[in-house]
Amino acid sequence: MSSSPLLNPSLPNSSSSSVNVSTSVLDKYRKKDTNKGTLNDILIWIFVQNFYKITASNKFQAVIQFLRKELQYKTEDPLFLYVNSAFSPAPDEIVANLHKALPTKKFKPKLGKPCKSCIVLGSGGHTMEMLQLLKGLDYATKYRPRLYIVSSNDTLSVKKVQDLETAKGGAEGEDYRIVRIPRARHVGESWLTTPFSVAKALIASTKVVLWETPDLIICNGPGICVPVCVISYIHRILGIKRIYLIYVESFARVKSLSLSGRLLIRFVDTFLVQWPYLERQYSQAEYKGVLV
Amino acid sequence: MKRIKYNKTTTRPCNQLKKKVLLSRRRRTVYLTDFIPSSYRDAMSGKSIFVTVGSTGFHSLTALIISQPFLQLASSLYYHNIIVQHGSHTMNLQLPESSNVRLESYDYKPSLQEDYERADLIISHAGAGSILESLRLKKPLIVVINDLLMDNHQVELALELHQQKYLICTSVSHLLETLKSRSYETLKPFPRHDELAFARILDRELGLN
Repeated sequence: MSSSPLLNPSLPNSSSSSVNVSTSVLDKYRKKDTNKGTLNDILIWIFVQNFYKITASNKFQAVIQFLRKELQYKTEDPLFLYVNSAFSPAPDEIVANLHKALPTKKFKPKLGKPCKSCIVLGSGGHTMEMLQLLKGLDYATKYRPRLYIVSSNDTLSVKKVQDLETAKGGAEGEDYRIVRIPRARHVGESWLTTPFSVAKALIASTKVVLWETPDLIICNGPGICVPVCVISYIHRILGIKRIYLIYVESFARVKSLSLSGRLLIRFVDTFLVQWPYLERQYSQAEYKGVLV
Repeated sequence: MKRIKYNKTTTRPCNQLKKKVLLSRRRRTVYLTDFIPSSYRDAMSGKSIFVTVGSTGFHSLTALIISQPFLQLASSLYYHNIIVQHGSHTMNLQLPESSNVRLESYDYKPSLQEDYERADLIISHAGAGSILESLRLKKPLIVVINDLLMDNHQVELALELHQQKYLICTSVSHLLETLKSRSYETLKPFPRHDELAFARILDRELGLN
């Protein structure tokens, strides 16, 4: 283990980092082969994405055989393979089925046309951050039409959205619409009445999301984004459409996630955080600098 | 008028002549105050402090701002204008007679942008919005933590940014010392906001390039 991982010299230098990692790991274990017997079980994490390809109709057995050959392992040597570091597939599984059944880390929608976007606005700080995020988006060609979901008592957010839209040349009704739904939980509301107001918000957001079927939902943590994201799963389960969910955690969250963030981190396709501590803490979180 | 006539009479445009015209155009009004050292200028015109506490009140901070020791200290540091956004907590605007500080106050405005831009020093509560706004404008910022909301996650943000030397984090009881030490003058500028950063990420994730 002390020896530094060697890169495969036959690889071109322009190869991406993931390729380098995968080859370095493979090389490491190739070298290990010489002093075999010191380790009984070897847990291998191989990042094969974008490097090795396999026909989807193959069985998983083919992957195992290939890796054994690459690592020069004999049939009696133990080799444990895991998908997403959790699931160990049986050798007779079809690779295509595995790909379909298991959540691949990155879902990339194939959109040839402008993307119908749904933007969930909160109040105060959440709206401010969201508008900062939206400023740079290409509204004219890529994200059109737009649907803003606003809490019913939040007039300030409505005004700010209208200001942004007029600045970017959007026309209400045509390019964008603003939909109001009741709040899931008022600040300081008692826990007794909360379930009822949550149900009300859930029904309202069901109506919106079910009928509108957007391609993309952007949210950044206000209470109403939880029911909206949950409802968007209905399409996914029924197989109508896979709605892309992107969540941006607030800049104010340095070392812990907000309640909405903790609830949604498992469900969204991309979870962005704005502090590196959170990326280390949560495997799904991605840190790409301060975005607001 | 005379110069234009003169230009017309010359057969070819002379470079030197052009330069002269440019020089005369560039002439600007020179005020007497430009020759006064900056510290004296500050003393005459006065710099301004903007105090913002968010939508909910922050009683102990606003009370300190209008107290005699704070106003004295502010005027000794050449801060002669103080603008206070005091939130729901109403302020008693009885200024001491002797003070030469101008005090402006209001409870809330839809956009505080103008006041942020005008200020030379911002004293703010630990709200993420006001912190971000002042940092983006590269203004010296003192964040005063509300002791009543100590467990608030926003305090985490202020302390983290304090550690990275983007702002000064203090409490109401230590605000005067912080102001005296003038440590807020040597802060690091916060990186510029990249508006397209999120757009790039989203475009890539959706494959909309």
